[in-house]
Amino acid sequence: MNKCPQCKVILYNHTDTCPLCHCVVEELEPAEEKRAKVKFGEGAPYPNAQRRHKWLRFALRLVLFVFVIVEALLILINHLTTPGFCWAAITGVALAYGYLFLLVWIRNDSGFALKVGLQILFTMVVLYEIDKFTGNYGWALQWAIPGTILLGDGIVFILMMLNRSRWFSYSLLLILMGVCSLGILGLYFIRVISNLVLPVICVAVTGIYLLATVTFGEKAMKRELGRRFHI
Amino acid sequence: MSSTYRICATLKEPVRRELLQEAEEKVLSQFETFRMRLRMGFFWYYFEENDRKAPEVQEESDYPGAYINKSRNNQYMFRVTYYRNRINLEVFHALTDGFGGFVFLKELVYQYLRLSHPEELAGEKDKLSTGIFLDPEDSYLKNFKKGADHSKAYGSRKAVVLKGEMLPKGEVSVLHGYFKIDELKAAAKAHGATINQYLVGNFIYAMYKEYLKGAPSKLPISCCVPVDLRKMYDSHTMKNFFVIVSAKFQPTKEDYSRDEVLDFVIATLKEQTTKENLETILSYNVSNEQNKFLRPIPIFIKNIAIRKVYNSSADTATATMTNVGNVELREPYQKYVEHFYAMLAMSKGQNMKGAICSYNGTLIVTFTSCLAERSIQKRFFQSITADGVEVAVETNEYTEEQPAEQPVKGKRKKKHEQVSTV
Ligand SMILES: [Zn+2]
Repeated sequence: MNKCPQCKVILYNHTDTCPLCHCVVEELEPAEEKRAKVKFGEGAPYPNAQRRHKWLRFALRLVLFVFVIVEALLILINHLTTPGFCWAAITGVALAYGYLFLLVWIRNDSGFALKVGLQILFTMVVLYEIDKFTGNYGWALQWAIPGTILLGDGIVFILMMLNRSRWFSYSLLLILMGVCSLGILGLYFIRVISNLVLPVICVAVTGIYLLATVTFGEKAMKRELGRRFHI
Repeated sequence: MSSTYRICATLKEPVRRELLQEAEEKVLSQFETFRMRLRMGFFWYYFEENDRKAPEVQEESDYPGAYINKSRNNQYMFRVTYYRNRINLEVFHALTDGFGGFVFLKELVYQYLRLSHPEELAGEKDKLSTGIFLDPEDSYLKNFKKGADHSKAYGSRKAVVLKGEMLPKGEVSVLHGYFKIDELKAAAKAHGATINQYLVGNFIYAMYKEYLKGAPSKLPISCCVPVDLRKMYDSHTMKNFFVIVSAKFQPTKEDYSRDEVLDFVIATLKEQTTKENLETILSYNVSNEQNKFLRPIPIFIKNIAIRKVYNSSADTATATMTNVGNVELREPYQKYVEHFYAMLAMSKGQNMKGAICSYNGTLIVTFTSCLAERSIQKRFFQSITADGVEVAVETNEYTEEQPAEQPVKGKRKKKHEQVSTV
């Protein structure tokens, strides 16, 4: 233990200067140190927290750095090999998607269901954009997005099975899938899409799934929705 | 968005992780108010019982008040860490206030000690202490009076903001000051104040001298002082139940003496903590939540609105000084515990906060700050030592020279012989 001759305070830290006034400190005599310890008790030092902070920041920056370099390389290759077709834009979207994915899952602290929901919605948007960019063949709305909805149903099912005691936490996610299916079906009637196969499968699967949860888990479902929509 | 605080117990022996984990699991299973998770509805956030496994006890590796990532904490709103002899409990303030936090921490310490000293504490029943209350009532709602006049509850006047060179983002400087209660009491009495008023007064004086350099100011220095309402309303709730009053000091002329500032602060604190005023603030807090026009607004819009209000009100207070009171342990456990202390996490607009906690005759004032400078703390401790009170100081600065876990054989190296290994 030390003492600051300026502030007259006793110091637990093993430093050369006073943390308050930066004055060079004097070491306490053994007898004096003993007296201080009897009077105030033992101190409790802190760990080196700086190191950890730097590591996390560094890791995320490193990933971003690598992604930027990779994309720059891809743009260069794209330009040199197939200047007519801008495929590097797609890889750019994919890399940005990957990085955002990482940030949402590492940084964002919302519930698991919300993260999954956002991820599914975001995937749909990215698919739609890629379709539009590569010639607007309509495969995204017709096949890929309904496929994502079915995948979403599957994810909800797995989540409910894994967390059986809290299955109702994911019911809102299921309702979201239901709304999306109806939306896709609606696109047929306003003639945006022409094939009815996958949209109907989507509505049927999600609808039956929803009906089953309402029938067999009415009470828990009601409570969950009651809480979620409580005014 | 909710702020956190940390409360700690330092033992007289190194903490063992596995025992602390076991103690946490045992205590948590009996504490309903801590077994909660926060969920987002369409209009409100709400609490739901959390039946997941107890959060993992980890060795302390971050700054106090670092964000608790709930999705990596089994959705729990508190975290238990340890470092050498110290047990830390970090709690989201939305869960409970310091009173509730200490009820939990004390039971955690009792349980830990029963596990680590089974022979010596064999006579102790292996369960929660009798006589503690685990009441989950919302004492705000229960005790607020409808129709009370609360137009003047919170002044939204701006206050001085402490600026200066900041520490890197995420870093916090912690500084503990250890006092003996009887010395402090004598010094406070000489100024006609309670210990709390005396410490808040000296804090404001330190800000006035070091930040305003003793000059007049258009804005007041305003220090938030939370007041626990449990005694006043005879409540034993484990949830939040406090209001915030503020001690304000606005220098209108040059060079006030410390006695003048102290007298001023003592007077405003006395005036603020009357029963009527506390009741007014309580009703104001509750009536906002009860507003039937605000209730049906979707939560994401509320969040934006709250953030706006929060940001605009962030500069109505300069700092905070809270007193969590005296911690008392049951007799057989006392000899294993060295200290208790508390500290507050930083929040927008307030770059320095103080927390007071006492145990076994020693009172510890802990300043947390994100300012690189420590001149305000320096003035605070210098003023108190000038009153004849001895103080010992400890910071969270990491120094390589800390005594090793295993005592090194042979002569201890002298300071100037030490070579940094960084
Ligand atoms: Zn000094």
